[in-house]
Amino acid sequence: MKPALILLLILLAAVPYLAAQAEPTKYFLPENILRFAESLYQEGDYLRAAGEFQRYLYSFDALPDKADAIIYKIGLCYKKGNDFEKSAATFRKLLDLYPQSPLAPDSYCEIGYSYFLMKSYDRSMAFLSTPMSFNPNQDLSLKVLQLRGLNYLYKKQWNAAAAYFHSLEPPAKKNSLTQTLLNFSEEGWRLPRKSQFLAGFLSAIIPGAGKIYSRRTADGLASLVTVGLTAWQAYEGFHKDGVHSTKGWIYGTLSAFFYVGNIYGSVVSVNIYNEHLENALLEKIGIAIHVAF
Amino acid sequence: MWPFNKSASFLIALLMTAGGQAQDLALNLAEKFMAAGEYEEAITEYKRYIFFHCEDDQADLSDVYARLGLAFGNAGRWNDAVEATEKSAQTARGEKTRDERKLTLAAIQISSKNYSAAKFLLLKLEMYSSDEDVRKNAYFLHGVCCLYEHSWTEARLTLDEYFKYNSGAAPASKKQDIDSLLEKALLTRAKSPSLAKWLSTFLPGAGQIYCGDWLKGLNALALNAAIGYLIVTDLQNKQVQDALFNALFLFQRFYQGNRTLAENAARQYNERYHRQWAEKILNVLRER
Repeated sequence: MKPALILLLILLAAVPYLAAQAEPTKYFLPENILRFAESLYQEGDYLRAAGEFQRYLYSFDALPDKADAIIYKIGLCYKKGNDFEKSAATFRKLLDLYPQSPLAPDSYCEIGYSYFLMKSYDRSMAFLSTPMSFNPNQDLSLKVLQLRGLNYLYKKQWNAAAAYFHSLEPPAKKNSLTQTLLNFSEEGWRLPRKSQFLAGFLSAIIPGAGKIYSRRTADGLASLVTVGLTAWQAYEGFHKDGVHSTKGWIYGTLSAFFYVGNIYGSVVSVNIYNEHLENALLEKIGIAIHVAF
Repeated sequence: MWPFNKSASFLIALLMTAGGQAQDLALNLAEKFMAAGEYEEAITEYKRYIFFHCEDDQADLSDVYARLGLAFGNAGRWNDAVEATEKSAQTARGEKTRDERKLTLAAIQISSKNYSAAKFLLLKLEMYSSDEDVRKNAYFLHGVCCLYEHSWTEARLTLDEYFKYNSGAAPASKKQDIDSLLEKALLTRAKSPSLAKWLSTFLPGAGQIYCGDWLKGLNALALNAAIGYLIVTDLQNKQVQDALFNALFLFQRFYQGNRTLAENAARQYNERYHRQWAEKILNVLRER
């Protein structure tokens, strides 16, 4: 009897273990889907995490408790996954479904920021001008105000941005980021831009001078030599054989073509120069706002 | 050269065996997605399995990581594919399985054009793996890698080793076919870019003709001859300024262009010719 009893005891002890082994993992229980989604989010696999958070919501017949937090997380996933159109749509959904949620103010700000990240600055400004359905706290109000100004900056409307930041009331105006943005807008306004008209005019007087003015000395000198030599050849042709000189007409046409191209090129090079200056400043602004937003 | 997805599938299919744990729901789903070509969905399911079994001693995560690597590879995400397959090798139970995973890793590296990393890994397997099958496959992949790199001599040496291991299975005619193709590839002389350049330096267009591009060669010859004639005529008429102008603006541009184009023509010819030979040999190997 004794060995049989021992065997029975061993079998009884092994029952929970064997049962656990036989039981398949319940991957699609809501809590397991949520755990998996969180792990994907932590891993940085944001778009896949967004899909899993959606799956979690769909696993209930009606939206579960704290669905607003999940929708907010989905919006964050899309934002971090650089799908800004979907992130804006998700945060909008949160605002529509849960206007009184504690996450509604942040969602409002995130919608404006998603449009900003999409470079739809007008859309962002238009949205941030719509009335809020909640009472924002001080931090959020400040963020929204700064975001509105940022849209002016990224639209390269430096004057409008400076005027906007100047028009803010304290304490928003005294905030260090607001002050930084105000300084940037004034810096943008005062950037040492070159004049398109002056570049074109200089190149019309001395070929290549406009390009030298926009700091493209080698291009300018090449234009000067090209236009000068073709014009000289045209002059030689006409001087020698009169108005019927074939050489004169060929080189004359070439010279005219290069001359007009040189003026147009100077105007373009000034545009490029100015754009380069503005983009360098926008890069600096991007670094400054990276922490705040 | 094959399109990369095709070559990746070919190389990996040679080495991979179907997943052996497909009774699990997540793995079942993953396999179905893989079969349907829905690689992103398959990746999600493999990741789900790994997440829920990472602390399960019974689960063979190595196999799942290998399948995940394959899914990443098929989705064209080579870095992720390498990372997953490396994990597969690290978590493998037993030396043979670990070496097989390393072979898969080498195949992925070849598919992502990371030939030096693949060769380094394959060399280690050739030297240190205790399993004959692994060594055989390592030689095979090494040979394929050399073919992609157009290193015919090295390809021949490694494929010779592969056929030594495979003497029973592969028909002798196949080895002969490959040997003869490699011999031809070795003997067919490629065009020298520097010779093409020098030929076009002495006679414009000659370099292009040397590379078999008669049309461009004759065009370069005609253009440079016409400009040269203009310059000589100007000099004969003592129009030194005109001659200088034509020499500086026209001759210089077209003459230099002709030399550079000749060099490029030789390089393009070589690339075409190497690719043709590599494709022929790979076609024979594909029938493995």
